[in-house]
Amino acid sequence: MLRINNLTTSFKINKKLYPAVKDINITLEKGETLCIVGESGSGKTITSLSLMQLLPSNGEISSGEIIYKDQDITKFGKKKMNKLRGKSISMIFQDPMSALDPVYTCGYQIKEVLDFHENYTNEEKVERVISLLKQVGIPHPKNIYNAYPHELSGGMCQRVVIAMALACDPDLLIADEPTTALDVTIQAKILKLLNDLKEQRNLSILLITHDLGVVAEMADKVIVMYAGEVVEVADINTLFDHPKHPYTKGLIGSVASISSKGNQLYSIPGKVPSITEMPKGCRFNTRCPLASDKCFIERPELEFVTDHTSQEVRCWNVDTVGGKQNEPASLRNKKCKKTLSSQK
Amino acid sequence: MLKFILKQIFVAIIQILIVATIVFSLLRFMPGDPAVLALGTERGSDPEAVQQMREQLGLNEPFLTQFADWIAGVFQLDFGQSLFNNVQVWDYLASSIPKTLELAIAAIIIGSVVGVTLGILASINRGGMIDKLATSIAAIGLSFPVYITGTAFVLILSIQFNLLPSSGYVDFFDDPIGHLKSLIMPSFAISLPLIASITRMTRSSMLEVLDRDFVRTLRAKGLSEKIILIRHVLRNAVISVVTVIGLEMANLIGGTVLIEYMFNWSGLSTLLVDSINSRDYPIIQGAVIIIASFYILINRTVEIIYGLMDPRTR
Repeated sequence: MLRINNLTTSFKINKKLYPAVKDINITLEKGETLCIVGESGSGKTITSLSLMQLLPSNGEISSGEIIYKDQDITKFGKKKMNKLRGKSISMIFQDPMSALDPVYTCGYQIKEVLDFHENYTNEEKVERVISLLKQVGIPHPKNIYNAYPHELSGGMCQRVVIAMALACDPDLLIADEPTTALDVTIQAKILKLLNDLKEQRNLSILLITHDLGVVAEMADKVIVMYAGEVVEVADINTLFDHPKHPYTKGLIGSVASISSKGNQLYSIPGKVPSITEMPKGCRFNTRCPLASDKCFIERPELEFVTDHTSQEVRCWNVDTVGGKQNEPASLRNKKCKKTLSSQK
Repeated sequence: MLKFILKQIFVAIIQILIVATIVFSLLRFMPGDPAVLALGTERGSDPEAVQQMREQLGLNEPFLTQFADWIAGVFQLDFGQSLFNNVQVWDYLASSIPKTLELAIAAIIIGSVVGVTLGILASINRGGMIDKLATSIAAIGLSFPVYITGTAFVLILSIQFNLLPSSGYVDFFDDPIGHLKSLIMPSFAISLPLIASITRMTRSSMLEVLDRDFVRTLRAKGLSEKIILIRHVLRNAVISVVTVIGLEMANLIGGTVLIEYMFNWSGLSTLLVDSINSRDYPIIQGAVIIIASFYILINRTVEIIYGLMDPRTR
């Protein structure tokens, strides 16, 4: 249903163009949940904003195509894109408290989507808004209809935002860290709500998160991004059982668990390079425990691994179908495990 | 909401009471006998005149009675008589209040319409030509004092092109068109700094709202840019602009003396300055209380409008 081919989005900083995300390839089928994971600054949000064409004014899609239902939407004009946004593709954002206009009631803000995209009578719209509020699990929908955003809790606001996103029965929902600003119990409820809605409506979800717990809960397929590049693609079980890229291993290694209590929590050393000073070769080279000379010179391609059919990885140190290695794979894996455990 | 409005009215009454008390005390606490002060040095040396003045000002009554009478008078708009003739202070005030209000309202309307429009245009063209032009106009408006712009208007519009009368108040009921003509220049001269501050406020608060997260949500809803700007961004931005407009309006009630003199438009501030020059204490008291009351009422009204516009403050 959605195919992103070689998407590159660049930002103009001091009159120079810097690619913020480079050569992104994503496919998403109907009824599927795809998670994009990575640290802050890895280009997850830029990818989703490119898809919605909501980039800040200094950003632009510089190459690639976004095929949605057999049409390249990067070629769409403003008007055509407005018809698509909120109707067929909708999006929810990180902080629900600031995602709503403070001076209008919640009901009005949901109704506004219907005003723009559907030809209902006013009563039909009000009825639809109330039923939407009910569907997202809001207890007194009629009261909430007339409530202002500041009168609601974060979890309630996020439900209102979700109701707004679902108002016109979209086919694709993009959720950019939908639970990051909420406390844990509410997080679980919102995630369950999203999963239920996905089942009921056969919705495709593109979920952006840095939380591997959320990934485990929601994803069918996972894309790991680092410094504007996709470094690993796999289905959910393969990713957690056999992570290949050292970055993915690092991310999984840095999740706290009760069994590792008392040990120091692993963290990937260093930070994501900034957009203006990307390293040559593999972008993860400065933080990678396995980095060899080659990693500093030549950029690896995203390629299928040899032992799992649907897993792709961008690393010189993993056996890939088309890749050339510089040492036997078995040895490297041992080395990686050793480095991880020594850092624990 | 009703409770909120009642609260504002209550606050206003208390504030006016405080002002009345201060104005009352000023004359009493000034060194020397108020009656002598009121009479001036020459006539103050005549004991009979002083005695008469004490009678007239009610200074022979006990202090609290004087105070109670004064407060009661204020709320009935009875401020006594002028010291130099037997005309009631209120009659003086009644003839100048409409002029002041008219001038202030005209200037505020011009300032708001032009200022808000320029501010919106500047904010949506951030960094562009219109933005630069609007901010320059704002800078010019703020940096020239009204007597310079007023003089320039007179020189160009009246003397050079003879389009508008150079000064003078024409009563509306005698000559409505002449009245409006004579209103144009003073109100424009006063509105220039208003345009400047309203433009700047509108621009900066539009930009601030444009940066907020909910604007992205609105775009994600597929709304057109025009609706986002007018229905949402402007609606949020205008809340702080209203405050500025209110404050400016309040300042105009007693602060247009230069323009009033220049265009011979004798409003409240002219009355106040004239009575200070002639030491006509009852008129000073009356004018100060009226100006302060308008100030207070406008501020309370702004507070109420603010509450109506921003659900978070209700």
